[in-house]
Amino acid sequence: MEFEPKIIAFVCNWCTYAAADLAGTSRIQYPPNIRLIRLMCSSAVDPIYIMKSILNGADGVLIGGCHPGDCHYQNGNYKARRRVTILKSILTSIGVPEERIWLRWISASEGKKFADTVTDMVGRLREMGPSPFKSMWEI
Amino acid sequence: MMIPVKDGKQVETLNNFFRSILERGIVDALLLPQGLFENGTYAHTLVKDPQKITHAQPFLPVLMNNGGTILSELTSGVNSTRIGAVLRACEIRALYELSKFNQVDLNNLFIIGVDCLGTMEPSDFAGLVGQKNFTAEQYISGLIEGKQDHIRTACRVCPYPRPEDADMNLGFIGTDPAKELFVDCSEEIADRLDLKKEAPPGEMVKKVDVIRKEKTELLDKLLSDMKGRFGSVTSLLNQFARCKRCYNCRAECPICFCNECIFLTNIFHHEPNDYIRWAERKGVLRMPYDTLLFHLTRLNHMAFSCVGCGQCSSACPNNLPVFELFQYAGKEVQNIFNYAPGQKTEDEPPILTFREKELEPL
Repeated sequence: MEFEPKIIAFVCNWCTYAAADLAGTSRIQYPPNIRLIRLMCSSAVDPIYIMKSILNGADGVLIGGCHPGDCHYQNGNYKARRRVTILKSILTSIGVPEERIWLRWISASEGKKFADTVTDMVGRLREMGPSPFKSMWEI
Repeated sequence: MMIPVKDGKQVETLNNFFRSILERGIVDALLLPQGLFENGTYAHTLVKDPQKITHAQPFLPVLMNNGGTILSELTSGVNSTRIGAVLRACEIRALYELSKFNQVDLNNLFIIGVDCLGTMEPSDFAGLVGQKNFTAEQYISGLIEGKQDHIRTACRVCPYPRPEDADMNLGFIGTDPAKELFVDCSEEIADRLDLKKEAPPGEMVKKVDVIRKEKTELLDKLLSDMKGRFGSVTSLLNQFARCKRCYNCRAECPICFCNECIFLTNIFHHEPNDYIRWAERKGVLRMPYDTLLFHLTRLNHMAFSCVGCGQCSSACPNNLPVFELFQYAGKEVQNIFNYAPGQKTEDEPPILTFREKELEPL
């Protein structure tokens, strides 16, 4: 059986969630490997939730927010960008590949971009193979 | 200016000096490390009555708590008292870092920095005090010559023998502490204490610089070995295999600035069935669960602000290299944002600010 990556996505209410909605209503096809969690803002994603997903065996985590300058709360996405950068730096320094974590800006009108992002991510994760944390019990 | 130590009685001299700071109204209360019970126990004391200064020993090579945490408690909320705080470099650095997170109010504080060449675990110190031939003065002379017996790892590599950014400095490095101590402060304060302001003698400055340089090299060497110890998940798990998730490191960390830690809430209290399900999926589960997640969360929340005081490692019942991990991972983040923690600058910790144009492409 082919490996099916599992992606946990944290998406903001105002842009990326609306984009996912638009992709759906526009009947754009994308792989069903993604589980969406809607939050009010990408800055509401504490790194702890991203790490919990990865450590519990998710193959990838997608964080979706409004484009820079378009945040519904003025600057939440800039803060999210810093948090994810810090997270990636720390994961890299302990040898966890940061490519499993994607932060993307997808606006409410970009249903196609949402579908493309998911398709790309699933493709990339398929190449990378299952996350080693899936079977790691010592954590 | 130098203050003479009469008949080699350093504690007496310090008692009198700190009493005068209180008596002349430079501060209304004083947070001062004092020896307790004469059995090698030593702690911060909050002094209101000058006569209660009887065992002033800010130079002893032992540190129970980071004073930054204590001052966070003393200054949050309504405070109209001017508090003087006698602190080492790591405590002052923690203080400045905490003030950036609004956990310390610097307004009513008068910071008195003291020279420090390293501290040992309180239990080790108490053990040494119990020995016949041990005197703290001799031990500190040894430290000046470069000896490091019993000294904690964090202190061995600490490049801050003399605090920066204090309102007053009290120093012994570069003098004979049995004969004289050096006080550095503003002219106004010097006047009020009937002292004459002088620049520190050249020899003293030179000695501090030499120690700073030596320790910086030691720290760089320590950090260069870290990739091998923490550079892969397997090696990290190996290093932290003895973690029993007691959260002591979090409790003792002066920087951990959340008023309520997420690990004390019920967010990660899972249902029994969850554990069973996860155990079923992997076949076996290490308990207690979420040990690695705990350390990774703390790394993400505050490693960039770590001032390297080493209280985490001291608090660990199983001697895990917590200090080393946080220095190692923290440095990487600090380099990205060009941030140096623990300084009295306008620079904000990376998590508190942002630039519109940065860090792209993602």
